[in-house]
Amino acid sequence: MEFLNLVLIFTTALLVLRAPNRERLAFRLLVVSTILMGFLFAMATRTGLLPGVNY
Amino acid sequence: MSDASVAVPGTGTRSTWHGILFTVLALAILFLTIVPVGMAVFWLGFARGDSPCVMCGEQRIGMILISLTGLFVLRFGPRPKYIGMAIIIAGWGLFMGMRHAGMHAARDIGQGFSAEILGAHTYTWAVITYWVCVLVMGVLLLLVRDEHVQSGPRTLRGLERLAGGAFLVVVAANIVQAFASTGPPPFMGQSDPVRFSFNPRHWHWSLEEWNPARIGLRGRWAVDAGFSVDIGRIAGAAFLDSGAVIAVGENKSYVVLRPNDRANADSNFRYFLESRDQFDEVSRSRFGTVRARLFYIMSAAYDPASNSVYTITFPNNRVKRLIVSRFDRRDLMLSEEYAPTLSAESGLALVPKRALDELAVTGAAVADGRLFALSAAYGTLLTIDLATRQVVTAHAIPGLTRPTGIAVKGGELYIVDDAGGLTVVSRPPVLGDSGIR
Repeated sequence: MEFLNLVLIFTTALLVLRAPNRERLAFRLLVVSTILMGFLFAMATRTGLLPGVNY
Repeated sequence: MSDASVAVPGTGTRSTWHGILFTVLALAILFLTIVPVGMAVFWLGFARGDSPCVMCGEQRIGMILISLTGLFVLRFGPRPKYIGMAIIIAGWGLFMGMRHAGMHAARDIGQGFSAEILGAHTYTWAVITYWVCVLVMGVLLLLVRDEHVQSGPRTLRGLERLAGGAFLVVVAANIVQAFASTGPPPFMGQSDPVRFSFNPRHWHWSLEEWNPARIGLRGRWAVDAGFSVDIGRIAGAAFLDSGAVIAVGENKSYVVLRPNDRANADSNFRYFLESRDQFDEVSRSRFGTVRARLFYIMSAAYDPASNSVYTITFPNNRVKRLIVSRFDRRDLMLSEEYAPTLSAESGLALVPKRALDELAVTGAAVADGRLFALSAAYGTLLTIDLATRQVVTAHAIPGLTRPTGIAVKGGELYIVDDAGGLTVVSRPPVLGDSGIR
């Protein structure tokens, strides 16, 4: 899934740099990539959103 | 926000002031793209074979996304929605960094994970990087004037195009690494990543992180039981039985191996740098200690009678203590820990102002209820009675140079040094043993 996310990011950067008239699509891809990053990290730590130390 | 004519200080400085924001931003994007992210993929990844674990991977992607929002600002100006996204990503990134660092920071000395940069592991640098991102974003916001917020796309200048190009190159390299290390969807990163290789035979694509698990707020240490464990330098090794060997690192991490002439070299690529067709890995984890916490060790021994592994602390420049720790083999958990004392019956006495704690034990072996501890300092061999926890004999062995290990066979002790030299001495007699009074 990291591979997919990086491809989305690469595509977004290409839109920003090469096709600025597609800003709306680029920003949506940025939001999707951010949500995907948050979701995957939450998946990786799903049994403990906080580390097992004293708070 | 104030009017541009008021905000821009001084006549004739408008264009200069206008350019500063985007110049600083382009430099920030270049730095963030090249230093933490670019070095991680090109130097740590492609050159040194490091693969990010699933959490490191998401932290790296978070940094890339912050750079990407910077590209948005370079192209379209500092619109509130871009700044909002950058703050959200940086805030989540700080959480990710602290979540990851907190997991390892609580461990014993030297038991951190992954590559070190200037003495700190990569997850620690993630916290620092996100912190710096927040600070830089604050500085950039101070530079924003009304004239910067425009509706149409900007034409990028040379430095800004360079930032965009560097971003594309670094992200492309990360795509290559992600494909090799994590694979296409639905595969995702692993808690225990296999080191990076361009050879597809060594790619390991996993769905392990998709396995359903109970969601909890507060973690258990078992969460990361399968996480990679950096053994560090091997401090000692011992046969657990005729077919299993335990190797213990100086940071009290250990790995249990079993020789297997028919081991699968490809599936063992993740565990071994060499000889992966001759060994299987049984387990790998970290010893936890109490008295010996924050001490390194340089020795390990196995006692078949108690089915236990023993370690002995090594003194450091600040604190010197001689602590014996015992770990039950059944769960390899701490089962006994003490500071040995001199036996009154032995007749041993310390020179004034000297202590057992000064001994630098680099080799240990157990036989017949006795722990033989070899100290590189003074070339001293201690015999510790495991029942009474007392030192019952101490002998200086002349001619020893940097001894690194000791083994027992019958009535003899075999001592090896770091040059591969072998010294054989007789087991020291102990008062109370048969025939000795």
